[in-house]
Amino acid sequence: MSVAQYRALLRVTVEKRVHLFRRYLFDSVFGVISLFILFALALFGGQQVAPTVIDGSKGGLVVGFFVWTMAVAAYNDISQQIETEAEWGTLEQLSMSPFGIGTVVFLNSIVYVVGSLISGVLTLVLMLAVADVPLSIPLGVVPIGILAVFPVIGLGLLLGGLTLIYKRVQAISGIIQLGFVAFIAFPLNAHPLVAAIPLTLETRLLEKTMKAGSLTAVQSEMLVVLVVKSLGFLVVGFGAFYLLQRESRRRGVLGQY
Amino acid sequence: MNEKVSTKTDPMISTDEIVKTYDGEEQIRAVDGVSLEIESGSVVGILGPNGAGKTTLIKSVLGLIIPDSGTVRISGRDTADLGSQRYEYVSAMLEGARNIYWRMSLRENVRYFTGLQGIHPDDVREENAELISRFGMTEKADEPVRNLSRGQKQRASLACILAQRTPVTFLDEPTLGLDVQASEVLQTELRELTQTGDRTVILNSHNMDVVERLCDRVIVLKDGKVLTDGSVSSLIDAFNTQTYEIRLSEAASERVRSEVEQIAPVSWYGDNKRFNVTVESSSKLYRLMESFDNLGVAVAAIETEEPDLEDAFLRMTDAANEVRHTA
Repeated sequence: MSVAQYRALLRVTVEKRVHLFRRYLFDSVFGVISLFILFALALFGGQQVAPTVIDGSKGGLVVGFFVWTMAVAAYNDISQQIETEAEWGTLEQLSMSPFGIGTVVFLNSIVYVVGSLISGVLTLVLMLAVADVPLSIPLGVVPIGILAVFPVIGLGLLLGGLTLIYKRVQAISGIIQLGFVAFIAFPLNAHPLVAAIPLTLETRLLEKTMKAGSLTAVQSEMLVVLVVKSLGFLVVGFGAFYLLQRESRRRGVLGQY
Repeated sequence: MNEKVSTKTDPMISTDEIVKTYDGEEQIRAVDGVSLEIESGSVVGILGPNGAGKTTLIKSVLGLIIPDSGTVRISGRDTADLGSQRYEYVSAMLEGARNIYWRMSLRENVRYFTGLQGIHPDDVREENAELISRFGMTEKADEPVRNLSRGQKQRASLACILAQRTPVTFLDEPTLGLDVQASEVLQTELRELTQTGDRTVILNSHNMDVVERLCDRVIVLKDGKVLTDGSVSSLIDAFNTQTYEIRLSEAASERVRSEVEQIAPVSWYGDNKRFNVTVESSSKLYRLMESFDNLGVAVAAIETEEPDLEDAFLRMTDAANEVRHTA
């Protein structure tokens, strides 16, 4: 396939996302509002229960909450997208593209995740205003934010692949979403391998960048670890999705829901 | 993109000994060694009772199911080598209208499915508008598909499949669930589509009228195997029996009914004055008339019913059942 053909696919994928966002406008907007309400409840409720603890870690709370919402949004976007397309009966049509189902789903995922990033950053701005914390949003947040989402996309693709075979994987899905909270809260210095866990290193680096107001505050070797890990998760997730969709074709259950 | 036309020597679609089994409580052999060839530009109907293996065969050709063994070739090239490139040749309307986005409009759907083939929708804007117009959907093109009637949804779905511009189109139950009028409209559009001769259409339908009107060849599957493969007319001719409706002047007695049933299997109406009988030759009909004469029963009227594909199909699959049960 040529670059022009990929451009055509990207164009219609973005258009489709915009159309569906508009048609599900209430749900889309309420999703952002409900996240903000959840954050406000955690912040102000926490201040009532343990004011000193919350006031001392407002920065961490804002960043952690941002990373968690982004992770959950990205993860849900991908795994639910596959389930929804199967329910709509459109998944088999996506499979019948010369680009291959892997590319179509991956591009769909990227477009969904970018949409979530945009609404996530909007929520972050609101959170910073409400929480009144000395954090800024430098440009360095963008690459780290994107790299933070890559492992989640990998996990989403893995779960999406399992959805093609087992149709309902919400039990595992719930555990993974809960796991994101633990990953974010994990102490980075507990063990060198902790850096390989999704979201742990990312949260610390984001907080550091936002505190310093620049990406230069982050050690370059940490950035290398982040890039390698993020791409690793993405590649493994994509590979797993490819194998699982093949298995679903072998079992003859690809379009079933 | 690859050249999308087949050479004169290669059939557009060919399968060689396709086998697909499903594991379950008992193993089901859904497709059992099916080999067939479909020429470019032909319109082929795939028929068979439920569970005959039609969908599995079609999805195997489409690559939505991976067969256990056998080869599928499109335009002479093994699909194992083609990979996703096979979708430059084939598209499919599966499950009626359930394969487009109901929250999006027809125009938006057509754009999306054009792009899914790697064709920039702005480059074919005029052609897409023409396609929508051909289906009489211009006025409804900007309505969300979910607001359309069932017949319009089916037409919208078909337009999206054609927007993919592949030389081969699979249609799975295209008229399923439509009322008579909507089905007629869609059949007219399908007929126009197939009459151009430059598109290969493979049609799976339980609606025999659709198959009889559109297809020039019929493949009948039963228990995962090809039961017969030929033109619609040859299939009807092969089972060219004549059905008569015979009306007597008075209700038949027990004795008369018993005599008649010894000559040919008949089905009586509730009043015992009328019955249907299907006979392979006119001599049997004469025998029936003779026996009525002998029994002193007057025949009031005889009407003939023309055989159609449905009769042929039912007789064929019934015959296959009988062979299986006596084997």
